[in-house]
Amino acid sequence: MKRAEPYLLLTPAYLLIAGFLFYPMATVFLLSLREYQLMDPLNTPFVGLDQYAAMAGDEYFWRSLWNSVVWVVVSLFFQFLLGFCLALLLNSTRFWGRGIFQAVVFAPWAVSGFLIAIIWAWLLNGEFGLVNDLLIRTGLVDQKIGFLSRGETALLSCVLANIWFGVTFFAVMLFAALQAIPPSLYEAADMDGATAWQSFWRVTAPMVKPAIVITVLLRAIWIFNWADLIWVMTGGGPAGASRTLSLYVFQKAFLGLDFGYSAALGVALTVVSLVFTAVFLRATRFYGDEAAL
Amino acid sequence: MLPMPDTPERDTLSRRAALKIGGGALLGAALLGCGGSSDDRKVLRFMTAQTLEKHRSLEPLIAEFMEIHPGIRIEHVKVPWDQAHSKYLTAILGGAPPDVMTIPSWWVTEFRAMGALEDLGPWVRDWPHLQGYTEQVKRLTRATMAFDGDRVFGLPTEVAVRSMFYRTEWLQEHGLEPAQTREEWRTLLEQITDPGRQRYGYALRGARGGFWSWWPIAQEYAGSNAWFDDDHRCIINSPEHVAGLSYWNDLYQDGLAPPDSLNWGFNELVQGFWSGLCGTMEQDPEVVRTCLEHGLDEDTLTITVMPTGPRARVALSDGGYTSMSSASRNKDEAWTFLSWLMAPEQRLRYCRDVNMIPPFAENLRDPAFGQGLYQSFVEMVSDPAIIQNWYPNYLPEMGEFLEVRVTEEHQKMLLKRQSPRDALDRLADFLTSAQKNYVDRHGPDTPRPPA
Repeated sequence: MKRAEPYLLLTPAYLLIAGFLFYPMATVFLLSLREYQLMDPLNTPFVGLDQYAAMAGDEYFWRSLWNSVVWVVVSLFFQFLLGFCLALLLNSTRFWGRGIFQAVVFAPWAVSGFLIAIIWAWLLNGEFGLVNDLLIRTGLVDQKIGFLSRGETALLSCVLANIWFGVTFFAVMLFAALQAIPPSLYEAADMDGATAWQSFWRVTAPMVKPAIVITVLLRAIWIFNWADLIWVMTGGGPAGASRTLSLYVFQKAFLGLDFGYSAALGVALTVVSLVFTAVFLRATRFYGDEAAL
Repeated sequence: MLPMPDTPERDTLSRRAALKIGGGALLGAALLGCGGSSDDRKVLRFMTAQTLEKHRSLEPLIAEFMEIHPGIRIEHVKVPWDQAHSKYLTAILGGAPPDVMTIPSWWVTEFRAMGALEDLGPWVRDWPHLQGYTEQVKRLTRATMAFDGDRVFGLPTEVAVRSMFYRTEWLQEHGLEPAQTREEWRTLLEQITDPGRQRYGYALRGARGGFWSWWPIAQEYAGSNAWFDDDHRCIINSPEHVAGLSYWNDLYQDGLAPPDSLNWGFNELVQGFWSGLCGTMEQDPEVVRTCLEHGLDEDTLTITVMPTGPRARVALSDGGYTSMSSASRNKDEAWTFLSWLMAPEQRLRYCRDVNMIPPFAENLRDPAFGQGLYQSFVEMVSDPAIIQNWYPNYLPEMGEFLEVRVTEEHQKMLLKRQSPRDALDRLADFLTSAQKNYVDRHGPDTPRPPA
């Protein structure tokens, strides 16, 4: 009885997780083994791994996977860089009006993705957009740029909006981590004659590393799964130039009504996330040097 | 049905259970609201998928119907247009279909194939208004297969037909008249386009829905509304279709439409016109009101019939139907409601309210339609030579075709990454394989409208 106790206590949590996480995941996986067109719902033959094989030859899939990589890597890099700088700035004691800035900085995170997309789509509009107007008035360009209608700039425009949105998250999370560093560590470093640069690398960096690893990992997965912003800004266009994998899953399911194939795409999306997580945690030695995953 | 891990049947049960609980709660609330009085009226669920204005315009009609028929209560289920298709499918497949529903014309083949629509044939035989439809509506009902011999799967709700909108001052400035043919129209666009003054000829729709911008032109060049030949090969890549798509592509490549229009959907397009960036656009009568709200008026807005292509004039009309669900348990009441709502008097009131073209010939004699900005729409629906559109929506792949593939291919073309020929070849290949799949499963008798 004594031995069973912890398991009994954990059972409700496990049941909830099983019901709300594993059951839907298993359902999606089983769905991906069937041909399931919503328009032909009585005819859902078992096709095994055929839909996964079809994915290998699906140029839309590979293209959107590549777009996803660009979308995640570029967004994340700048979100982290700017967010960390902002956090350090907010953490500086010599900074007047810190409280107000902390509140203001958090604002973008409180705005819904759809609204952000609409705001940025208007800012970058190729005919009436504010950005084009400013560029022309300052003489930087002499012709309007169709940010969202050109293949080369559509995805990067979405990335720009995403960076603006996500910097805040890093700023707030890393700021909290910075606040948790005991001042005595800096005092000790100071007494040992450490320069500002040294105390940053030897004290600040190792102390906030766990927070960095977790926030980067979380954001990477969120960005990877996030389709609303792109859907509203460009619809994945022009000609698929900004279609990411998560957007492709959405389009296949709710525009193409092909639930079988979109389930297979969803499974692929999950696998990519899992592989990334495993590699990332190992590369950052999150569980220590010798711990195996 | 075989037990499957994720069969619709299992969905049905859970959804039904959920509906029962939800319905029970609603009913309870309703009863409380009524002070406990019991309601033994027959309840009809009426599902509509439309714009907000149209939903609103239906309310007084429904209220009036319930006054005339105290034994029937109409429960109006309003579905936002954007999610309409999947909502309808969920309701039908989930075993909780509405009794009466409005559907756009291009869903008819699909819903018919699922067995969701009741054949109204036995009822309409005694209905006095069937012969009163305009010629175009009769063509439309046959082309969309809503009327199929003696069988009737929906009564026309309204007609949306396209006409060409012009900014009158731009025409006057150049001493131009509205174009009669596509050739004239192209010349007109060249004359009114002046990028230096922020003026473009054509408000082109290059993003989602852009298909409805070029497909009519391809049909004008092909002189036909066929999709497949007798061997089930898709023929939308014929040299004539290619010529039509090339015509549209050239408008963009030659700078007659704004460069950004590659990414324009409906809203950007209409705004591009009323804001004074573009001089022409093709649109439905509904958009007249939007133009008037944004400062255009009878003096500054000219609307004429669509220019004619080399082989035909095409009516891109996406009118809708109101149908009865085959699963309705109150079919007689549903017919009472449906036939009342679809009668000429109610159609006239509704269409006048929402700026659509009513389906009956007698309605068109109403002063609201025969003159001014609406005249050209009435001319469009009265033209006997027009080719009527239809879509092979019995193909499950059609959703992906219209919503994803088409936009992808024509955008690649607009970006000069492929030729119009390549774009149509790829689209035709996609539909040929879809059609082959369908024929393999259901046999060679695919639904198609009478020639």
